[in-house]
Amino acid sequence: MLARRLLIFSRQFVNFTPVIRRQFADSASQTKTVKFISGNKEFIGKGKVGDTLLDVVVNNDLDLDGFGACEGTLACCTCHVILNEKHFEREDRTNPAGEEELDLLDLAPEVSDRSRLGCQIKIMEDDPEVIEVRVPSVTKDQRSA
Amino acid sequence: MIIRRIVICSRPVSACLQNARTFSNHKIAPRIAVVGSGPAGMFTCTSLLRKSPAHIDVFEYSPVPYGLVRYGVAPDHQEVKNCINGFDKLFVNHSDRIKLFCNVKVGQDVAFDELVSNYDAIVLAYGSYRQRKLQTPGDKSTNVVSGSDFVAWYNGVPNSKAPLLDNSEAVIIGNGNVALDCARIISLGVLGKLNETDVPLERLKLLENAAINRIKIVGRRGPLDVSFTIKELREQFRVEGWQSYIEAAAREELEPEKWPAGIERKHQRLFELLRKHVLGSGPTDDKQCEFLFRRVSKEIKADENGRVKELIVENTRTKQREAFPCGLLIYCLGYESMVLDGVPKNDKVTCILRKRVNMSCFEGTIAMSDYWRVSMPSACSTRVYATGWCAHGPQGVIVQTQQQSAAVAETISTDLEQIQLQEQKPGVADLLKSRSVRYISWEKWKQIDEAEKERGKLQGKVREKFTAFDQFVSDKSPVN
Repeated sequence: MLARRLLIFSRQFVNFTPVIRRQFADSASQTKTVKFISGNKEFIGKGKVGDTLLDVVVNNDLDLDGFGACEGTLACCTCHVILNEKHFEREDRTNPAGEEELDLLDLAPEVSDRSRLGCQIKIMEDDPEVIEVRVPSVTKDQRSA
Repeated sequence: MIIRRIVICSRPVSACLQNARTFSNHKIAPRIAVVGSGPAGMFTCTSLLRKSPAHIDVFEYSPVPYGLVRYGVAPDHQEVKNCINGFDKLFVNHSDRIKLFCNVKVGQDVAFDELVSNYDAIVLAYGSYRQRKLQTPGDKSTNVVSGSDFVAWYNGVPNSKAPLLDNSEAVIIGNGNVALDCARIISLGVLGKLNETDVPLERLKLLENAAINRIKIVGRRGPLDVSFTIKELREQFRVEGWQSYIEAAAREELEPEKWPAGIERKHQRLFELLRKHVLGSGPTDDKQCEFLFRRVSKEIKADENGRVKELIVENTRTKQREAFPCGLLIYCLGYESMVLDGVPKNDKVTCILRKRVNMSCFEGTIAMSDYWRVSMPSACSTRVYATGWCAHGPQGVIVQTQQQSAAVAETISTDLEQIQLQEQKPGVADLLKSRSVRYISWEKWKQIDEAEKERGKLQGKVREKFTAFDQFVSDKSPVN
């Protein structure tokens, strides 16, 4: 378990380093908007480059309750998001889902080919000013019991 | 039955008519009772507190909150328990709107009908805690235990009976995650790898001193029918010091050309993992966990003291009978729904009627009028909802429960907005006090929580759970 924590930590650290360096170079931390689309609702929050999508939900106290139940420790899939094609393609190239993430995504409802866990996706400098992601939600036929 | 319910429900209705004039100008905050403080109940509360101005009273059967997060989630999955931090925060941030009543048994300490009279809405989220029984001759033999009893034991549920772990062979019946959890906890436990977790010390010692070095996980159906989730399965294969493998006889069935056409990625990945672990050459480690399929339990044989010594199965591939010696037999056949006393229940007649109008119906489950709402007599003004395992059966992981709860909370807040509430409902706190029910409040739970963490720290563990709560609920302790 400790090893796993270390792994998660080191993974974050490795991913973080270039971001920090770039931020220093810009000498200003960029802020971007993330739009979470769930059913017919939109939840909008702001985050800095380097923040994960989970950070954005938590820091902006968005009405996506239960999102990130395990607090980003790769132990659940409550922060499941579906990225747009371009976004997914970039992440899949630079920060592909590892086995652990894929194992968890296998349990996620409405999983798609562009599914990721929000705790593993960071806001990047080359992201558009408004990042759009989809959050699956329960849409049950009200008549069925 | 229906008549009785109408009578009960008519009480608040008549009461509210009398009070209508007094309160009509005020917007009254609804009062909601949530039965069960597991993930289903607490995720519902999370959303309700955001979406509605309601006051919520949460009732919990156990002396401590959070249901299967505390007593179900495996001790080597502590990260999953992080959701407790979010639940705790609710009681801090909304202390004026949400109250916790642990150690309160709905149906004994307070009747369901009394909740109906004292709340505007009720959310049933009490899970389904009755284990499906193994119906095999000899199932009463000593040390034949249900998976939920075994899980309860290692998770520190008060008064759980300790299994005997002094025999080298254990058999686990079932092909779901409870079976995997039991196998993994034994595997890790005997190696002393759970010492930092929240398994209570005396139970940890029993695991560590266990003689078990052979585990057989036995499934009735084939390897492509398993209900394991891949994460848990992978974890078993990865326990160092144990050789965990799929029986060689399953090799053919696991060949990709035998997989159903067009299966989803998750099934492909799961089948691939199973296939990768089919036993190749002979066993090497001295500790082994073997997955066996297509074995139907026929009989449990006991020794002269009445303790299990053998499971007799029929191998449906070979049609041969086989004997698996074992000193411990754990059966993990899933859970059955149960309906609390007073809650509308699907009986034979309801099911026939509902099936006529193309609605699904299972006898002995909570009678629902749609996916979220419990079917109550029309005269009853209190809305009743059900979510999580008690409503939809024991299935899925935390994410399904979380999504269901968010959706049920949405339904409740929309429903309640449309009603003009006529009177402030009192809740049942005073009723509980008048009956001297020694409930445990959130404040008291925090004392227990802090004490458990403190005790854990001394032992190098995340938590040392109390397995008795007499000191917190004794008659000498003040009523909350």
